[in-house]
Amino acid sequence: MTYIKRKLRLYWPFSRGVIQSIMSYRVNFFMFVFGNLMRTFVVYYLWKAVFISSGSGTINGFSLNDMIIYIFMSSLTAGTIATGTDSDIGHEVMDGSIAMNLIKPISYKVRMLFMSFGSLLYQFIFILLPVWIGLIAVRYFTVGELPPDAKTIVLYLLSLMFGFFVNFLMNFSFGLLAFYVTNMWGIGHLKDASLLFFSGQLIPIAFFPELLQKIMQFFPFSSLNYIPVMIYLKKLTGMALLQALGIQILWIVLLYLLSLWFWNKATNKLVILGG
Amino acid sequence: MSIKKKEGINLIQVENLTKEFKIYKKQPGLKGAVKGLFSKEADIKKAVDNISFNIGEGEMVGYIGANGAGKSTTIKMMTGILVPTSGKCIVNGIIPYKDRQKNASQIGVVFGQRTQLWWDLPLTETFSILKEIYNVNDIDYKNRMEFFNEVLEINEFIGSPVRTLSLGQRMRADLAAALIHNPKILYLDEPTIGLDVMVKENIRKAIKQINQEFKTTVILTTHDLSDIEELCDRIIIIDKGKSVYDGSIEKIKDTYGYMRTVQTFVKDINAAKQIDISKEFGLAEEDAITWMKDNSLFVSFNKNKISISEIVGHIMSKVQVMDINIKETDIEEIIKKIYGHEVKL
Amino acid sequence: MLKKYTRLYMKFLAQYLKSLMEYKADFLIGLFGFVVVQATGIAFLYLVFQRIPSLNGWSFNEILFIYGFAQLPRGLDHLFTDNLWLLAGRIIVRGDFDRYLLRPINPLFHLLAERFQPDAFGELIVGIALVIASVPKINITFTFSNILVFILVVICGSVIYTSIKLFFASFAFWLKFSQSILFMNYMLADFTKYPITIYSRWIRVILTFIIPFAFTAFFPAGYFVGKVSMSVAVGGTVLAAVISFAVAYTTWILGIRAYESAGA
Repeated sequence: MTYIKRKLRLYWPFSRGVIQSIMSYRVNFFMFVFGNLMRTFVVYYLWKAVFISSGSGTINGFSLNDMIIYIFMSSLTAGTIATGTDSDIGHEVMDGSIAMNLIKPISYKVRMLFMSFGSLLYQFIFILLPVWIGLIAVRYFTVGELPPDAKTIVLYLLSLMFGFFVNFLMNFSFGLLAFYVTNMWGIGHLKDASLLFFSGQLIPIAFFPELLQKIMQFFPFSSLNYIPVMIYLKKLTGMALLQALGIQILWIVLLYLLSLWFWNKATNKLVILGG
Repeated sequence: MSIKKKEGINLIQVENLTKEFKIYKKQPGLKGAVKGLFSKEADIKKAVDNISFNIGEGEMVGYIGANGAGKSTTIKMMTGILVPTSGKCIVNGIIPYKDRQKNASQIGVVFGQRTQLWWDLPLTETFSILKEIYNVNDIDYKNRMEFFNEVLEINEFIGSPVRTLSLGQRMRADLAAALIHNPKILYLDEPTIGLDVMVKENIRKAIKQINQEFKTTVILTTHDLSDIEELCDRIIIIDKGKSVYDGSIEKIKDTYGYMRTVQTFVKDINAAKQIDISKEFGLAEEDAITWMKDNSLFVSFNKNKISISEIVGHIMSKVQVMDINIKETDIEEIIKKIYGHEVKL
Repeated sequence: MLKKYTRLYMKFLAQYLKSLMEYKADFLIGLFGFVVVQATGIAFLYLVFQRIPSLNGWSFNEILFIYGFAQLPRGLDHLFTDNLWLLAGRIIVRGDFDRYLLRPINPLFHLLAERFQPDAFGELIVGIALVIASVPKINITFTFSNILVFILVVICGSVIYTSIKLFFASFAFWLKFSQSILFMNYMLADFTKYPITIYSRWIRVILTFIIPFAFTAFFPAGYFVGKVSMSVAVGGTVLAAVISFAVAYTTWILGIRAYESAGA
């Protein structure tokens, strides 16, 4: 117990530092968040028009109400688990400060994880909670829809935590690409666009053609925001729910191994460059 | 070289020039950030406070002051980058911030801290773009490039991108770039900052030569006083936004030349620390300033008020002195005193 | 004057292309990135249209046409005025704006000429491909005068993009950093890839009269599809371009007067 306490005391300042830096740029931070929310609204109106045009109440098992909750919750979930790990590592590789950080007597990976905890905490309190409460209120007063039960919310939060780890590990490996590529901005753009689509933020993965759905099973994208939101919508229950959580855990393990391997490979390169 | 201030027309007229900045406070820490959500206090800082001077054609003027004294802000108003809060600034008949482009074609600017060149372009390309921007004709261009190579030896790195140049090379390149259109006025803001002695010397030589050959008016800000002593006949000293001295270097030396400093190397430091000449002789504080540094006791004194033998005799009666060193107070120390408001001008 | 500026621009461009050859991989990655962004958008549309025959009275191909058209002004603006993002994000914060004020050329021209963004070809290629692919499948006859109108509205559309960017980037003269405001407003452009009739009233009002992105895609493209009148499409687009540029340029000029440089 004291061991964990000691580690927490050692690494917590990194989380706090991230929270403080977001706080000091909060106005800008929220404008960026709001900009991203704009896209969510576009998708929301598009789906509304689609449901009106289709004439049928449900598409692929989704009612319009499901779809509205789906669109906002997946954008919120993705925004909450987002971390800056890839760009942090990218910058440190580019300006060479990674070498200095590697010789410090703290674990680089744990430091990055705690920095991500900082943004998770901030985004949870200042984005997810208020927008979620707003969403619940609007839904209640417009269509009389009630929020899901406590058990569903707990399961959603558990799945969101798993999604956070999947995202962190993906970003960690992605940031290491900076050892090999100079145009990190271009490649980041590529990553964001792929994630937006394949994690189902525009359209639920259930709407993908069957072949694409099969292919997607070999990628971790659905473990980010899709599974938590499907749990929230109660579209995953019983065995399917356990299976989905299992998939998330499996991806955490696989991505952890991948990031370890990649980390060793990339930092070896640093040693060679430095030597 | 003579001072052309009186004979020439006033090329630059600065009258009651003032620039204010608003500064928003930011409190530190998490608590501070939360507090900052609700309040934003602003302070008004007068970076330049009611400054006036005239500069004649062909003059070389040193504009000096400590960091944050307002040197750069004044230069930025004269070059048209900043709009003054109040007051007047006329450069060769032009109000810089109103007629910025016209003003830009008759001035050259070098900021020591920040290059004006394109980071990724090879120097040759930089010059050929500048040639277009300033409408320099082919013959002038060729002659000037030759001249720059003569005085600044830029040919040795002219094919390299700016980002690969050393600081000294970059400064030479920046100086040449600022002169490509043979400007009437050259503003140099800390042109020798961070350079080694050899490069400094070369840059100064080049500036001198340009001033002599082209009658270029040079305004130089620096905190390196050796720049000033070598280049300028006239200095303007600015402190906390206010002009505190405007005149020749000679005059400042004459006026304050009565100051001497005596350094005594003592054995018993603690005993020496007790000594205060001005108190012990009943003098005004600015007539005899006493301080310790390492194992030396320094006394800076007015030779008209107290003699050196009195001081040394007094010290020797109190502590054991191993060695003595006497020197004239140099310009640097006088200026330090002016900053410290120890000397009234 | 114009000749001098053209020659200068060519000089900057030539330099840029030289450095592009040095960083070919970066260029291809950037280009590919923007193509993928567009491709996911199209894939999304395609999947949606699997379920419905038409959206709010617009066929799949008509929507593809708007979508493709929208990329043209966006891409053109992106190609030439990318430095505005840096103005909003770091040029002013770091005090690097000084040098634009120390040259005897228009500072806005100087700023824009310095950067050329080939990533924009990702948008332009997708846009042109979509327009070419969708035109034969919808009822558009391209006459000579129609083509002239097409070129005119595309150019006006990119002027609107540039003006909106310039307007919000200029806020940095007062705020030091305005990239977030710029980003927030730039994201509004996302709305115009689809027919604006699907949005609520206030969104339509904003996109038409306040931040007039609707004139960069929906109105002009709608004209070619025969759903928007000529006067609104062409007249409105030209008017929107003129007004937004006037507002943006005035803001820029006022911003320069308020510029505080760095390290007072």
